[in-house]
Amino acid sequence: MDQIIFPHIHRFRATALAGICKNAGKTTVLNRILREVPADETLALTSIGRDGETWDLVTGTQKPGIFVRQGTLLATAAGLLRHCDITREILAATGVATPLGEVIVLRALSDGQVQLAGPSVTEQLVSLSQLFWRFGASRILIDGAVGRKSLCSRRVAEATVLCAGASFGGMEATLAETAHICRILQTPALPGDPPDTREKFVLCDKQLHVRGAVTDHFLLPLLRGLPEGVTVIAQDASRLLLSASALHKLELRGGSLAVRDGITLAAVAVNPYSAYGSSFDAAEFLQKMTARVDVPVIDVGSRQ
Amino acid sequence: MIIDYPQKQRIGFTYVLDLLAPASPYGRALLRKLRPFAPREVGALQRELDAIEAILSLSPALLAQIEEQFAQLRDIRGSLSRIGGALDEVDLFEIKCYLLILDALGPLFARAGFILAETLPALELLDPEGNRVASFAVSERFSPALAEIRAEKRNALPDARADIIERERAEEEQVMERLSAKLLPWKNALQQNADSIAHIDLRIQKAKLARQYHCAKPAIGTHTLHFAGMVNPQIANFTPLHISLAPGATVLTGYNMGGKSVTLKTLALNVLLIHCGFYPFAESASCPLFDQLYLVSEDLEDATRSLSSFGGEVVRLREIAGGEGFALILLDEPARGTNPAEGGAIARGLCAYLNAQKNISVIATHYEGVAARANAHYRAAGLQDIDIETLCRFPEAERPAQIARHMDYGIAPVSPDQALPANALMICRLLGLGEELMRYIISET
Repeated sequence: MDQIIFPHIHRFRATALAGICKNAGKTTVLNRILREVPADETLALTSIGRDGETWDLVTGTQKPGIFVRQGTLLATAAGLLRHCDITREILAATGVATPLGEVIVLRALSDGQVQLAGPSVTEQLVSLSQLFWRFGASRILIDGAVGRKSLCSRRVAEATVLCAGASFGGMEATLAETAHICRILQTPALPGDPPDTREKFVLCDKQLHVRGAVTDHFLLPLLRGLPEGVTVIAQDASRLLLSASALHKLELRGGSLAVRDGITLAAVAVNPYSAYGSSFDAAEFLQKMTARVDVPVIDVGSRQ
Repeated sequence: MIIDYPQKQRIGFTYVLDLLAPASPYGRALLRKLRPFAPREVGALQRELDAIEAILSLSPALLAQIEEQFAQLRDIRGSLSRIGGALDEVDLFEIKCYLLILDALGPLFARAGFILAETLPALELLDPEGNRVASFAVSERFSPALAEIRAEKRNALPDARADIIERERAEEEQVMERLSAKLLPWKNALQQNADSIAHIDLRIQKAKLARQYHCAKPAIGTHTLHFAGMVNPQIANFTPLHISLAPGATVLTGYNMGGKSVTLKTLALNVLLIHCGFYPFAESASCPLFDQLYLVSEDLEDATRSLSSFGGEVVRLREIAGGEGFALILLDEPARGTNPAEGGAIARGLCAYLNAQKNISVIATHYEGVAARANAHYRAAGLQDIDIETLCRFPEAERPAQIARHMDYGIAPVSPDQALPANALMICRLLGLGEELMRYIISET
């Protein structure tokens, strides 16, 4: 099999997948990675429990299943075990509760289809990762969330693959949204501890340290009062909820964004097919996306 | 013994419970539903105290090893209760992990003299390979048919796969059903062991508390209530109290701010602790077993009853007078909220009434003539080593702290007709009542 995604993520121990919208093609990308990973690796796999999508996961037929090889480590809710057709060994119960039952860690003793719904809180994912390493994982893959509220902490995954699909809407809108999310995810890291304060924000030395989310509603009224060339610093990219136009206004004043906990955007995976009917021209979509973002762009669907 | 939750909180009982940190979920669950032993359970209470004494003789290192195993336990009473019925693979995983911990606890418990019911055959059932690894799979060792189906699955063509997986699942269910049935004879032992662990865990915590605070094993079922060197763990530098209480009434008098209320609460706390199978915070203790513990104090009255404080007190006194069984009755300044002439009469009458009963009662009071109607009289020592002139030289803001520093909170028996200490005026002056107001007050004395 040609390795088209794996070369972009192989140097990261843990990689998360994010999508710009539902049905952006994350599962297709995940399955592709699962097939590209060399056979001598022990993969560990989980998925953020996504409230809205959970029932799609259980009942939906339009969603492709996830196919894992024998030996893969998995974390999923106890209630989804009967939807997994692998032969398996239960390794641990994590104590993390989901609407579908406690998250269980297991080893696939055969190849087969699985359904995944793991922990969604960063701290829980950090503990789960430690369990995975202890059970001999050589690499962790996390099927992440939709939109910008994805995993953006290095403690969980060093790298992200962003999936962009025609299900988002028109091509120009899809390109613009993807480019904006890429910029947010690529926000440079400025390591260091947050100031010790209960305030929503603290300004010192042209650095605006913000606790919690940086939204348009928060930033725009402040903008006039901020010094030129200010750096707005959030914990990680998941807290940066600015629109493209608000980011533009910040930049007009010489301002920029930074995060304390940064990740690497490893690649953008495009999917020209929409779950809702209208699809893009694959070559045109790939070419235009490549022009809009400065990370590798891969078309997984068309090359299968 | 009956005492309600707000009272438990106010006397510091919940504070003491929070000092305990059981290592196992079973110990934590038992702690949440801890209740006092009743007088008819004197044997069980004695065994509980003996068990704590035995634990105190064990090496802390051994206890630490046992607690380490306890900490790995998960509360799987749900899975245990399903044994014999439908157990799924997660249930079986949990039960196997539990059995592995019981197996590890075996030799530790043997050294400690704790008893566990035998469950090794149940572990061998779930771990036929004898790997003793904390994982569980419906393995081919359980069923030759499963081995065949899985061999087929490995080489299956996509079209045949669904059918093979159906057969695999059906065979797995049968295996789990058989395992559940085979575990049934061990169900009781498994549940019993969880109970035993809960009790041992809690006793270890009680023993650690006793060691930390130098608590002594109490004698129980005695005629009189006696504490030597009794302290309150919630209060730093607490002056140890020595007190002996016989059936009838004992009166406690002393200065304002002299610690009478705290003495009653500390007494209530330690008596309740003994009834719950703790070593009390004392150098020595002997304690009868009570059916009831009453602590009546204005600041403990429930404002939601919408009675005045005096009204609330009367309702409590009515409960006490109508109460059954052997009671410890602690009254903090009864009838202080009404007019002094009637209030004094009520306090004296109460004391005479309680002194004629077989219950043990303690009455803290400022009223004259109450002690003469009791069979014993204790007095709080009050201000020591300092006189009022010295105190007055401190700035007003520092005086409360100075009073506290020089207050001897100890209590000592005195004769029933010992005069009441008169220090209210002094306290008024020290705490800065204005000169003019003081002149008016003094002219009235």
